[in-house]
Amino acid sequence: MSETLGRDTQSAKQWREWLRAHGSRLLLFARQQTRSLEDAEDLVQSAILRRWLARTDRSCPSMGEMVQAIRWAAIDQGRQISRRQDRETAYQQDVDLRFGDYFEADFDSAERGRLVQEALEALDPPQRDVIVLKIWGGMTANEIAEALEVSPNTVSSRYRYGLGALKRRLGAVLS
Amino acid sequence: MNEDQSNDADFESELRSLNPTNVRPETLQRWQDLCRHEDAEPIAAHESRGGILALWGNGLSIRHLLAAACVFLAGFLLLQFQKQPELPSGAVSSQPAPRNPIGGEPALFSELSFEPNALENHFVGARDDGVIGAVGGVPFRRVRFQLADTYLWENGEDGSRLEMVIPREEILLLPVVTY
Repeated sequence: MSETLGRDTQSAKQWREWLRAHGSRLLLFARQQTRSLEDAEDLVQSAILRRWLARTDRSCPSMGEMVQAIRWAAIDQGRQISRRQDRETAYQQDVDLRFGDYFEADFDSAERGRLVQEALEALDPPQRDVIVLKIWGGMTANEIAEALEVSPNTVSSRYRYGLGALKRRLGAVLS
Repeated sequence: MNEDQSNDADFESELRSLNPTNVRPETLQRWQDLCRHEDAEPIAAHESRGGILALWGNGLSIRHLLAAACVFLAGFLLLQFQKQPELPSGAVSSQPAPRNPIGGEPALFSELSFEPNALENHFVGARDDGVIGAVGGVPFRRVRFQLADTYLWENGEDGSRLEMVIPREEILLLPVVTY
């Protein structure tokens, strides 16, 4: 019993460390799936809970598993939000729900961060997901393909087109 | 070509130099707290057991358990007594196996004189687990229907009744239509 408890404690500690290390990446991906920071935080929380309860070998999740769980939670949340959206649209039209920045900003990078965020938001969502997971999620094309349930070729083409679109928009700013 | 690749690499590096916003401390704390429940069990086992526990909470008691155990024991003994002798090796028969007449039932069951009276299916509740997976790119949601099958036997001689309730769960996977 004590052995099991000890293993669990170690496992929970590893999970907390893993979340500390990867939380910002997960949140950035979740931000692409929803409209507000709070909703994105809820998505990640749902995904964590789902993976934590579903764990069988007590090991930390992979980035891909969490991305997949966030996508499923987003679909679930999207259905709920769409129902209340009709009621709220009337007075939300003037409110920018995407408040909060995607990136840490110091004095030098604040403007760059804002422009990159705007460029990302202008991308097609499938391309944006791939860009975010590859550039800031640190995932390989195969890992992304598995998490998004598409072929690696699709991931590559989305990345290529997405990166091209970003370059056209940001080339002059970032170079 | 090489110049393009080099430009892409430089551009990617520029993008990578931006760090995603840190999670707010209170949010990170909330997430980490989710992992403090050391005795949390894997979700499938937890939920399937929860359905039965919910039924217990809805009125099943030790009396029902004992009644169910009695019925199972009686059924088991009945099957044992009705067991037919095996045919000799190589013998082929197209005749149906002989059955004991009703009067030939074992003493235990005939003395009890219980006869099946009713079978009911009660709908206890439904639980939506939300989107839990995808097959072929189509996400699906899992819905659990919890039911209770009630079997009722009555003894015509003394009016005693024997009721057995078996909780049951049916799981449906419904494809999610996305727009």
